[in-house]
Amino acid sequence: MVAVGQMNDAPRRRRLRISNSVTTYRVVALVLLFALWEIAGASGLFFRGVIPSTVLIAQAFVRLFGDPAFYTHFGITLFEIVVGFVIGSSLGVVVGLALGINRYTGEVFEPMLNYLASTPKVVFLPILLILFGIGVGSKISLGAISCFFPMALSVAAGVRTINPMFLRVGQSLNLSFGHRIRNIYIPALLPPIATGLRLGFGIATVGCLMSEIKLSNHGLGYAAMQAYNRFDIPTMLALLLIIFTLAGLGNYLIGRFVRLPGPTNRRTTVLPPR
Amino acid sequence: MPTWLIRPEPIYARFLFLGVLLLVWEFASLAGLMSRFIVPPPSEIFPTISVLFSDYDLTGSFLRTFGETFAAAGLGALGGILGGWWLHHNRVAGAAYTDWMAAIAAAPLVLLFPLFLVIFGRNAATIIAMGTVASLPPVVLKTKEGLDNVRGVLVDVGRTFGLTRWQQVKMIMFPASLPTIFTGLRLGLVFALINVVGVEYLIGFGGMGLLIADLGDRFEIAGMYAAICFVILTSICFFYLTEKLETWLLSAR
Amino acid sequence: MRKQALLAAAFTSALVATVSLASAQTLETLKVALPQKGNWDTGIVEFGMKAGIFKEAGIDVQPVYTQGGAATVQAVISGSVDVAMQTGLLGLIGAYVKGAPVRVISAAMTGSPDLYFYARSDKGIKSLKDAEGKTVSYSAAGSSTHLVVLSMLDMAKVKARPTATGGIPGTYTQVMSGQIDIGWAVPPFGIADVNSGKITIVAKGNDVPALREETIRVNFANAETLSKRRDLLVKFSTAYAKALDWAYQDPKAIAYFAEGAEVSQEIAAESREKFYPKEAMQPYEVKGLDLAMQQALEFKFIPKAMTAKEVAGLFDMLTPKPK
Repeated sequence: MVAVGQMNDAPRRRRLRISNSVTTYRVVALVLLFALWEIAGASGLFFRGVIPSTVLIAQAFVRLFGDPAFYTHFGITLFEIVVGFVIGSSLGVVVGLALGINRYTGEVFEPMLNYLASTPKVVFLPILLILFGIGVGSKISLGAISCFFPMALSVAAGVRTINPMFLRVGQSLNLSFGHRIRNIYIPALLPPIATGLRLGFGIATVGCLMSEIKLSNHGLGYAAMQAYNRFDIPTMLALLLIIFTLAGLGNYLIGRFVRLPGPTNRRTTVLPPR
Repeated sequence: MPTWLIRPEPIYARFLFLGVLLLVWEFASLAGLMSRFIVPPPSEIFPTISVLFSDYDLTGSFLRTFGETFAAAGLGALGGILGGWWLHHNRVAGAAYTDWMAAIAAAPLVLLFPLFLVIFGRNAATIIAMGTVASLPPVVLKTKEGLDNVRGVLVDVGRTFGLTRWQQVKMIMFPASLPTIFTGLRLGLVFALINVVGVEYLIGFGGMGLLIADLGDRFEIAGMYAAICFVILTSICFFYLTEKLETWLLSAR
Repeated sequence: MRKQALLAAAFTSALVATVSLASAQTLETLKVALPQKGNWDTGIVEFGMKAGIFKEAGIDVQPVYTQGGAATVQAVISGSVDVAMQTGLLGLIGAYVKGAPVRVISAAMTGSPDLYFYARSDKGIKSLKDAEGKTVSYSAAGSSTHLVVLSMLDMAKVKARPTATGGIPGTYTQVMSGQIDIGWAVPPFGIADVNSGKITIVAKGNDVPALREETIRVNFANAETLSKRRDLLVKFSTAYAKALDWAYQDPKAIAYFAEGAEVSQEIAAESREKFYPKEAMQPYEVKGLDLAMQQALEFKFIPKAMTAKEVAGLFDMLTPKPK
């Protein structure tokens, strides 16, 4: 009995030790980062105020949260990201299905999609600005274009991995096209769609914020640029941190709601072909 | 009808599609279905390419963006492979920082450019630094993933053959993880290109990004479309080259 | 008694409703782009709003703050705004020649009495001669500051690198943190720093003699807005001229200006007297168009030489001249 207990205990203790060290590593990294930042800021190596003390950044946070204008900017940015994300992702699913279902259309169009996917989307912004104006339209459209590609490519690749047997069963049961989409494709495509959503959210955020930075009157990107122009670096950094948190939170929530089944996705990290 | 007419080879079909698209575009623009000012017809866009070369130093802009991207991706590759190796080698560090790296990879890093601007100034250093920051995380993650996934059997075989640690790395670990690492390098290159052009466009400095911003600001819309085509061409070049390099590397392994 | 009171109340409320409905109907909304917030010249519209001049004319002005030059033109072309104030003529000529639906409705600034260029005093740049190889800032492509920088460097035969840096505070940040060598500004911004020796004035807008008699900024509208709502734009232009007169007469304008630019009333008043002569802001006539056409060609805003006549369609001056 004792021996068995010992056998079970050893790996557990080892795991505990590792998890303790992990915490230590993380704390050390954070402390180091914090110390480096403060030292760099106080060293005088950089132009005065470029690397503000964390105390100032914390104060900027407090000021922002007490300012009603901040919530307006926040709301507008969130609106742009969500609408752009929904439009781009939905189009991505449709196009991905079209490319995946028919092998030939896939072979013809997918390389073009791949090329465009690795093109910096911001180059389309000047056109979008003339087309949709300097308001939310140009931001939503750039966000939508950005997240369209990872979704389309992910879904197209996903369709091809569907077990052909399911498709044959569908054919032999004489299912209509709509039925096949609903009962075979969609369930099988949930994991690639989840991947597309997670990749897309981050770059939809980038798309919306880049166009806010370039030309706008509202939104967090605009507010950050205003702070930069006033040389209010603490506020600018606070806003950037809020934007990063927003992107991270969105990614996390999508990951939670669209749970990836099976351990297959655990080992590989999915990265966007921006 | 013969099959080559119904289903031509994909590559021909692609060109056919592009040709039809350009024709439709041309006629829609000429017929006034689309504003000619916003969407000029291709027959106006293509002639501007020569103007871009003669008046706007397209070659210089192109080379500049290319160079900055390669510098950034190179730095990112170097740092990323070292970082990935460390995260693989030191298991605690791997457990502690891999998730962080994944979060950083998904973060909108390009938005940090104002901070880089005030630190490095308005010069190529800022742009290369922005590109490096973007290309680093995918290389780190993919390197670690590649090394982690090398099958234990292979490593054991190496050990039984009495290979030194360095030999193990060179002859087993590295070749076995190469495809995954290469995916990381490729992503790193794409991320670097995207950030380089993005920052060039936003701060109005450097190569192709600046050129597009400048043409747009002068309402040289046709020229702007041509410049955009060149950026797409750049990413096609990168995509194609890395694809070829990958097959070559994998066959030479 | 009660019945009467009720009746009276109903009557009064009906009257109030009618009146407020009427006033709501007569107020027409107009979206107006104002580049470079806080300056005297772009401020006129804001001062006029505060003084109630536009409301009186039946216009509900909705200000939209933009960056100068091309960004403002983009805002008008895309229909994001109806009218834009104080925008560089050169960029507009370029946009018009390439088919953009824009129409100049009044002159905004003739000559460049307000603009100055400065460097950090420790950089040792005293005049344009020291600017060889340095970066010189302007706001945005096609803006009046762009024109002045290009003409200035042309005249001094100095090879410097013109760089777009956006608005005045952002430019100041870039100069002070060493990203840019020579920045641009207009008073009252930076005057305190000049006096304390932190920054040195390198050149002034009116150093280029040719520019003194040229209209370099204009107010303009979207061509479609102009054809559909011409009456409204005429009313707006008239009210703008009235606001301009008011701003040079009523001391309240100085108070508004000081508040917007965050300076004392004395400095605000001094800035207006010294740098913004009223003649420079006359809205009636675009002057020196022949010169502008030459510059447009020289600085690559138009592809080939054109005469002022060829761009006559760009101008549709709406401000009625005073008797």
